[in-house]
Amino acid sequence: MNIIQNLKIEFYKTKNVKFLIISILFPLLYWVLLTLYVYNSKNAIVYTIEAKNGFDLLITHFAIFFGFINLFVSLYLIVDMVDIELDNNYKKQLDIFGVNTDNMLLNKLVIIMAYTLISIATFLIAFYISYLVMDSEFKLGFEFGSDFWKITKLILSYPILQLSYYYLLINIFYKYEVKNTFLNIILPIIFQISIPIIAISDSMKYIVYLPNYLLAQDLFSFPPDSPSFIQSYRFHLLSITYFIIFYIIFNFKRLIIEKDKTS
Amino acid sequence: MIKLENIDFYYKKTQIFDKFNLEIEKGNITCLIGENGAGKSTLIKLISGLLYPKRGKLTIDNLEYANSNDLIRNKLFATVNEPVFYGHLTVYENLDIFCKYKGISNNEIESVLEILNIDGKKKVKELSTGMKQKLSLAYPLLYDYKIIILDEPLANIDPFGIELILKLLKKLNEEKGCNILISTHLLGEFGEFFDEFLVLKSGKLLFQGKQDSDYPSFKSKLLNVHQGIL
Repeated sequence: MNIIQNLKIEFYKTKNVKFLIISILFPLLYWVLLTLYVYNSKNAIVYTIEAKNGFDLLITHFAIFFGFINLFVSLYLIVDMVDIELDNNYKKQLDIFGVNTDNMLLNKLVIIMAYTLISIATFLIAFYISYLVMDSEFKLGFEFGSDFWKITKLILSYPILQLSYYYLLINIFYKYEVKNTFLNIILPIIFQISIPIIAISDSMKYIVYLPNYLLAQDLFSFPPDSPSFIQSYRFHLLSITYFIIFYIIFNFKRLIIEKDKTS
Repeated sequence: MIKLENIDFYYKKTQIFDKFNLEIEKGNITCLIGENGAGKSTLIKLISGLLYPKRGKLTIDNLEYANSNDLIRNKLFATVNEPVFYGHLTVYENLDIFCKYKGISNNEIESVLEILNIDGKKKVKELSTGMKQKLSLAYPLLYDYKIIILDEPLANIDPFGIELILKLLKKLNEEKGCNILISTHLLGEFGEFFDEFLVLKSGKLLFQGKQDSDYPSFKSKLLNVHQGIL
């Protein structure tokens, strides 16, 4: 069976509608939270960082919050997609059918990345629209310049940065057959609750930065045509390298030991 | 032919099989009986390649899992503990996924569901355990398996359902020449259906023999072998 056929099967058994709703609804929910935060808190980051223009402002807020959206959506999808196989122990049935589960996990990764991209795009669009509205009201100086497109591309490529992290989680959840209340219910709830708590606490903002600290730093110090992009793509390359390392670790038996047996 | 030679198997420190030997010939419908904890499920898992023997040799039609996994997977179908499906999908979608995995046409799904008398539009999570047992037979009906192994397929099924399952298994045995192995601890009145019996107790094969023409006396013989399990 080729990769495309495998991907089709994975997509077929995914709860498409549910995933789509989550990928779109959660970014919108966070966007609402962020908007409320910006408008209601006097200690909000919008006042504490010297924003040169509206675009800096946008990027600042986006960098703070989108890591969480990404983390929540991706984590939810990872758990749910692995859960499809763990539910009723379908995993064993797949072994009996002779399905190559390593390829299956790779296909899950592709689907998770696609939905994550949808969630990031949704958040990005909501943000741009709101800042366009703000721009017309407060003259923040928002422009669709070359910087705008460069940064948009950079943000949308964020799932690639997370590639190794997703793959690691998928494998850990799958190999250890973790199907429990903590991962399915408690952890997502903790994430949800933590957002407003972090939002109202100014000192916590550095923790918020942490998941995407490198990328955020990159964006803050962004002047056009600077080495920042080279630096950020270096992170992408690093992520792919990690992914390859994880792939070899998790497929060591199949790649090395079984190859030896057949040779 | 399923052949186990000097198989050792243990879970951590609990020894299940010690130098266990078994040979099941082609074309039979074999009944594996034994009380709870006798090792039936472990034996089925070993034959299905879900567990690996610690020592000894296990072959399916002279093939070993270590170097012919894909070949065996195309010959052998098994359900372990109870049949499993994607609960959030419909019956039809589950079978369609199976057809896609096996690279076969899905044209037969409707007719197979008709034979099994199951509504393809129903979500699997809405089916009873008995219905799921019945549905698990759709796999060997759709794909040309040569060996079918079912773990407790008659549990939680009404007498009409049991009759249907046994009829279908007979059909698969006669028409496709499938080798069928069924584990059960509820033999009851359906004993005459089987060609061969295996009696397992505490990881030991107490009895292996063909069905006699006179089933009632054969049943008494089995009872003598293992008091109280029938």
